[in-house]
Amino acid sequence: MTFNATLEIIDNIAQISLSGELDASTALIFQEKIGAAAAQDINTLILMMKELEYLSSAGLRMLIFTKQKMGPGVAIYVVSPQEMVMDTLEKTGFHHSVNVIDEYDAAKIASALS
Amino acid sequence: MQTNFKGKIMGDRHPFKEQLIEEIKSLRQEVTALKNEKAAFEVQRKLLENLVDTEGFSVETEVLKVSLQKTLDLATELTQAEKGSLFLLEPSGKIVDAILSRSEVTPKQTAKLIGTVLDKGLAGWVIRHRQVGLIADTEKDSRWLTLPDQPYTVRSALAVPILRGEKLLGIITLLHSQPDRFSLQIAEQMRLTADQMALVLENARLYSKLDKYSKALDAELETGRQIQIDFLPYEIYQPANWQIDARFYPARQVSGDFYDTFFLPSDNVGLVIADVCDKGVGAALFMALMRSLIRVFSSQAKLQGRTSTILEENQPVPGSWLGQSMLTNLSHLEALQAVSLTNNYVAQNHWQLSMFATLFFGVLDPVTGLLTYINGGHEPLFILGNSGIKNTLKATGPAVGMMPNVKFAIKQIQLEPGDILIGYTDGVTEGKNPDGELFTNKRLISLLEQPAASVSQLLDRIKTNLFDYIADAPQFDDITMLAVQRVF
Repeated sequence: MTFNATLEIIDNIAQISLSGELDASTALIFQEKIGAAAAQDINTLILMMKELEYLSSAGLRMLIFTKQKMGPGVAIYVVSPQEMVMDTLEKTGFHHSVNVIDEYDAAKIASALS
Repeated sequence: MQTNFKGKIMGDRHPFKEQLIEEIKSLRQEVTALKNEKAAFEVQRKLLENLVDTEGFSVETEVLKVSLQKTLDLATELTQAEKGSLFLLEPSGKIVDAILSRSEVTPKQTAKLIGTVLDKGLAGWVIRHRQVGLIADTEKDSRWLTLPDQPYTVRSALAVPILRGEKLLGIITLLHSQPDRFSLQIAEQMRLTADQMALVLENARLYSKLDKYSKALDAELETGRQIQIDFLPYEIYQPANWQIDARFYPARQVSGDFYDTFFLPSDNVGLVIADVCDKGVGAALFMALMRSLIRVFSSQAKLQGRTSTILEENQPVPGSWLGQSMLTNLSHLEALQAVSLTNNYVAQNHWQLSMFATLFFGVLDPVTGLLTYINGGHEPLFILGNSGIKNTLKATGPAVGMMPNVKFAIKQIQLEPGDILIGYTDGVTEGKNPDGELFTNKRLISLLEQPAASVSQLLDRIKTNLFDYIADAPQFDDITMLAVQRVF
């Protein structure tokens, strides 16, 4: 399935919805969205992964890039990753660097940040 | 259409006569334009046909010359010229190649023409004005320059620039010994033909450029491949009573996967299987870095202090040290420091690239079969006994190079006689068939559950099944496997 990433920014929260396969051939599409989100004044990045079917090592590299690009001032939430994607995040230990949550609740995140 | 036209002539005797004449004129113009277009189209067809035929040619001159020679012959034929020439030019007007109709020129004559600057006569005029030069009679046109020793008397001449935008690529000249042989219509046909030639010429040049570039790139990658192979062990280290074998199938010329087997000064064996993220050249550079760092650090890292204290403070998980000898445990622990040292080096020095590797590093005592290891975010390794999978060596820490100063837990396990340790990269389990479906862990495990006579046989079994599965689908990821068996 082809990869797609859409970025939405509301106040200080950027939300990127990912679908399809994030691999070496699609990593740049994601990188562009991250660049666009990082250019805004945000404190939260929500990565909606429910529709993301596959995450290769090149894709994971982009998540590490995201973490570094955003810096410590931006909280990153990975929302509803599929089992295979979660396996990759866990196996490589990246799940320790972000907050993995089942459902995105804007109010909860906002209160967690406050 | 014709009937209506006739009908109109018959019906309108006087009032619309002028209008009819106008219509006929316009129709004639249309026919002429169509004829021109047809002629140009014919040339284009021949050119394209010819280019398709010569697509296999790699050298610029071959592609161009064959194509242009045929076009020039065709143009000469279409215009009923006696002689034709085609000069490929530099922007200055200097000839870089000369093609003459019906190949009647010797290579020596062509060589003489190359380098000459066309600044005089009709060609010079065409180059300066960037437009078609038509001479009905050379004796009445000052643009024609008659050279004293010219063997052939020219009376009609037509010179057409081959232009691509503002760029002058060449000039076609057509000659005849009789005056008034080239009409304005022919001149227009040739201008259209030259437009098509310009397109083909530019395409051929681009194709040739691309071809040269791709060959140069291929050669560079081939050098890279050779150097990368040098970063894999020349010979797989084979301690007494052990059999070690490996397989390595990169998806591209260079790869981010690697394996390593090497002897440590502490009489232990280093076993590595790793997968640098992403593919291609970037991954290959990091492969070389990580492989070297692991090798160097593993034989040099020394922990200071009392052995018992060090071992107490760095217990394997879960539980305690399995090794009977404190010195063996310490030497394994020291060699494994290579993982955190490599991790910190990459994370601190190359953090901007976000590169990392999933890496398994095991230190094996070949005498006792004691294996101490760190699995840094890599696919699980398996220990196979007589009845299939005995143990699964899952990740004990994150991938290497992602974040500095992270903890890599160490584990110990005992390999018994007959046991096989097998490691692989995700190119195995994520190999895709032509329908895009993954090979999966399940398929791999079912192959591991069947008894194997040797490590080589086991690796060949996986390889055969995996490549049969991938079939003619492209191999997306590097595929690497390492297998170690304690024979006695």
